[in-house]
Amino acid sequence: MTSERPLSDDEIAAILAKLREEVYGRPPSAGGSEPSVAREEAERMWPVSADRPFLEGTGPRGRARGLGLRFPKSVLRKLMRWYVEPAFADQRRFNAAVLRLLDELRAREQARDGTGRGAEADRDS
Amino acid sequence: MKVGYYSPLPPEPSGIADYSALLLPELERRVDVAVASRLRPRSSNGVDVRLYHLGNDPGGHAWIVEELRRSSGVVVLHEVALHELVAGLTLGRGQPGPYLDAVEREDGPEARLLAQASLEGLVPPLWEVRPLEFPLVGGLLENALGVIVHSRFAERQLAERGYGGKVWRIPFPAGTPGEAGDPGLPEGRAPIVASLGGLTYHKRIPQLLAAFARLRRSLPDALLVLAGSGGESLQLDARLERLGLVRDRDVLVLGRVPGERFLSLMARSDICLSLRWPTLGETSASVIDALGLGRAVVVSDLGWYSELPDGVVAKVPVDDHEGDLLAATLELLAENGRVREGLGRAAADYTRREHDLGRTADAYVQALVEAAGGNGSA
Repeated sequence: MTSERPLSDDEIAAILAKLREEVYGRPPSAGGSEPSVAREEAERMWPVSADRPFLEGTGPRGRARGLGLRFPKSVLRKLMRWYVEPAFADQRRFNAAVLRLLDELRAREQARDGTGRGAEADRDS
Repeated sequence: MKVGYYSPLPPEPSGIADYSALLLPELERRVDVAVASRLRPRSSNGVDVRLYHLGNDPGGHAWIVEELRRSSGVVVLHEVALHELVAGLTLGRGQPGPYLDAVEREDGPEARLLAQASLEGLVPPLWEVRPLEFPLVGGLLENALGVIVHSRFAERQLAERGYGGKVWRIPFPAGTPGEAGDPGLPEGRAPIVASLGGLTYHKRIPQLLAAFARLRRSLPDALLVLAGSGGESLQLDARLERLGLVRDRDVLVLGRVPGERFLSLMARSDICLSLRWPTLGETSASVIDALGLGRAVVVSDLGWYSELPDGVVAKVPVDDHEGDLLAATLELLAENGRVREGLGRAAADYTRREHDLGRTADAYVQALVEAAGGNGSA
């Protein structure tokens, strides 16, 4: 393969443009209208968890306070994990199911309109 | 000419610190530079012109903003939207009033209401989903003698915001690719797909994971490498489980890695991705690194990334077809070595041509002399 003549920039650009054209010629397999702020937020927030990043304030005092609190916070989280995490796990499953359901409804709607995607897209969601 | 230089510097974990580490030695060969620091911000008294680097990390830039308010100078805008910086300097200090005032001053009472709603949790924070609509950059530039940006996109954004001062567009410099060490990746895996330099939602890691899961169906030896800070907030394990991916088997999550390993991971990867939405108007150092190393690079088709030539990177618009085009592009690059290698070769040539460090330093000197009231010679 590598012994063939190298492709020029223009040839590569043409191949990528053709790929884009092919993909845009098909109905999209997932997602909403571009880019839906609501969907973006849902995708961002669905995996709820008590494991949140440790944040620090600005300036030397804020950083010192943040660093000082990091250890007690991490200990407290570990101690409480057994109690809060199962509920969060259920919530994550529910949230993920809702997003899958939305994608499936969308796929059904597209199929009814004659622009449907196949079962493959359902697997992707 | 003597230049006062205000920037985060290594070992601070910041892209702007790395940028300055690259630029400073070249600048010091051309002009006298007094480097200010957080601990000694006044070390640059008696200079002809000051150069302030601004980005969105409040921890790294709060002292620079204070110095800029005290003494005018040329501002290097590494991101055009600085809403997060302003939020960090106000909300981060428990001061919602000044934050809301800043939003209203720049974008009017309706924007203030939106910002208020975001503080109450009714809408997502404006800096996360609409940064370029509310960039909050005007107040920070009140004392600027002029602005240096890295892209035409940033230049246009400033013009659209009505900035009337002098703007210099100076290309982002590329470092010299060195010998890549052993990145410590498992043997026999191909293709290696990498997204390096921040595991955040803005880098569209969830979309990348979904596209990679599709690639793995046809190429089960494919490996995705994720490196960078911020992975905790993405809840990666839950996302991997939903897609049927397994951590350490299909996806390596490395967290923040030191600079040398970062570059060796990049050099070992077959495909490097740098996706983004929304853009803050930044120019990506990691994209320039990957291009310089001759990697096949995939970027989101927006902001500065859109300015990269079509035969040099593969671009994926952020729209309804993003997931499909991303998966198809990964598949093409994974299976077609000619396209992948051609893209890498074009990327290395482009970087040598357009992102030369010496030319960047010359352009800085010219801008600084002009800002200091000279005629363009140091």
